[in-house]
Amino acid sequence: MFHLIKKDFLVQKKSVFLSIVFILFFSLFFSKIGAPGFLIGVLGVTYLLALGSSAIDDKNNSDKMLISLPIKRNTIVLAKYLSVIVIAAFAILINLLIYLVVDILKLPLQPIPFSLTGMAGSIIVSVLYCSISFPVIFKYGFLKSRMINSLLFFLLIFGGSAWISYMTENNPKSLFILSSLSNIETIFVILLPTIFIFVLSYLLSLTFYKNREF
Amino acid sequence: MNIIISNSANEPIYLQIINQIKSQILTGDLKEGQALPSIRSLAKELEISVITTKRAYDELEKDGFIVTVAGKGSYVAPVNTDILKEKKMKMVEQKLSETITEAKLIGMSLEELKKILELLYEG
Amino acid sequence: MNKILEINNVSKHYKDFSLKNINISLDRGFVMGFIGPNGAGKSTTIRLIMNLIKKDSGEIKIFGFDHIKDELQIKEKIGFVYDENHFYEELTVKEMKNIIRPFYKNWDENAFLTYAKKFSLPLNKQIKQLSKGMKMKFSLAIALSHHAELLIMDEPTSGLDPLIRSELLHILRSLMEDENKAIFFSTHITSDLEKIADYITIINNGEIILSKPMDELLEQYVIVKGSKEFLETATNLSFIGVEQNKFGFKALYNDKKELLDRFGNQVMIEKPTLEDILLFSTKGSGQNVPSY
Repeated sequence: MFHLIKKDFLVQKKSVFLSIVFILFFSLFFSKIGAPGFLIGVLGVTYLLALGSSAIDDKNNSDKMLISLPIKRNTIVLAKYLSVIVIAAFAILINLLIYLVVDILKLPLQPIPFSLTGMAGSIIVSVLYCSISFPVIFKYGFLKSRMINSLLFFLLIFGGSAWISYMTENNPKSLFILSSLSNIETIFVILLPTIFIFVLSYLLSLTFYKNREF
Repeated sequence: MNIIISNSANEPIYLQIINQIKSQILTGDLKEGQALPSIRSLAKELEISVITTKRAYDELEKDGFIVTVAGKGSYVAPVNTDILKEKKMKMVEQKLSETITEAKLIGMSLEELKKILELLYEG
Repeated sequence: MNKILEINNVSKHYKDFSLKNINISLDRGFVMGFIGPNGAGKSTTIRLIMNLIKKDSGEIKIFGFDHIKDELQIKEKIGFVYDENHFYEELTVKEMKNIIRPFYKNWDENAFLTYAKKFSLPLNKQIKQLSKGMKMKFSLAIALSHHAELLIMDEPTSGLDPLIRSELLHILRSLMEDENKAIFFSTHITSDLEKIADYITIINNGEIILSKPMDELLEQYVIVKGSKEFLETATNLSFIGVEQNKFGFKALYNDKKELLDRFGNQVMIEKPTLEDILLFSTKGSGQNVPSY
């Protein structure tokens, strides 16, 4: 499992570097948009890396190789899903690092503020995005589902950021609901539905993948 | 031990192996108790199928030329080469007497026959 | 039980192609060459064995176990070499090896390093920079480094030059000194098999047309040449893939002894090559022209 996730990063070293640059750029120059900028940064990186690894699997036809190894199909699918969380965490970490470095060194820059809302929102959106696009990929392969996935990506970017801006402007309170709720309530409100969808999506992908022929 | 296989010869490969090993046992090049290469290494060296070498060894064992000890390998059987040679000599004698009968039929002299024999023997 | 691979009555249907009732059986200690024209079903059969595609019916047993129920346990002991590279081209040889390594319980790093050295594999080069022969050798090194008992190879020699092909055959030969191993080897280059195969299985149009020890095949089958008059009178002989020209005919026949005993003085008989047997027995199969 760990090695499959590690592989997703190893095969796209360039993209990993690119995503750091991307976040840096976004964090420093789009700080005015605030939380939506954070979301776009994280989702962008998830899109780049999570789908990028599927693209590389597809290009090399490496599923044929992976399935020929003593690896369960469950493990292959699960690794893809877990790597989304690792990637999102990686993107958030980079954001956090930039924020901290600027803050500690008192640099005359204004990175995107690091907020719980932004973090939670970006994880939710990234996870939801992959929950929808992965089953399509596991059923049809990356190439055939590329159009749908790009469309979905831009829909989420614009829709998601519009939603967050709307919430911030019109109903500032609603964004603070999260911080006003207790920890357990936060977990229920955000994580449970997301996890539920994520697990459902995993099971769907697994069914597709088990029946796919290589 | 030398074995030379011809892929284009009409004689099947397993027979080529059998004949060559037999003749080396009869001439004494292969001595009683001497270990033979394993079926698999012989196949590997000659670039032929394991089935071919196995068949050759099986036939050699059936004819009493070699013995195979399970798990150890094959060895030249304690054949009494004298008896074998005697058998072969008898065969030669028999064939020669047939030849003599034929020769007598067309009235060949002993001298003439000897000459032909010499010629053929020298090759 | 010494059966290492058993395929019983396996079928697989596609819209434009079907594998029909495939039966193959291979014992430990032997090499089976799996030959047939392009598109005959060689790769489909191998993909079925590896569970890359689902069979419609029948049974596949490897090491005596069901190939789906005991899939992981089986794959621990299978080495595979495919005609194309399916490794991550972006990774170096070493990185790829390190990804694969933890999945095999019996991985033997020393064996890998020995083979890497023997094949002169450039460990720090990206896989996409390797030549086709080198990629095949890398596959082979991976396949040999977890002490696989069954090697499944799908056209491993296609696109390789004769030198590398003969090198590969030499390695496989040495491997077969271990009587517990077996190799299932598909190819359309029949001359590769004459040096290594114990059994030959010919597939054509999704059907197995014969599966025999190679010796038996080469001993029993003959190329017959004779006059057209003979061909006309010998209607009770079922010649395979008859070829006629203005002055006579040429065909394959599967019983040398019978032919010699009955018609030895009327026809000419020649020893066939494996390629002759393949060509004559798959002749007239329509679009499936072997590509050499």
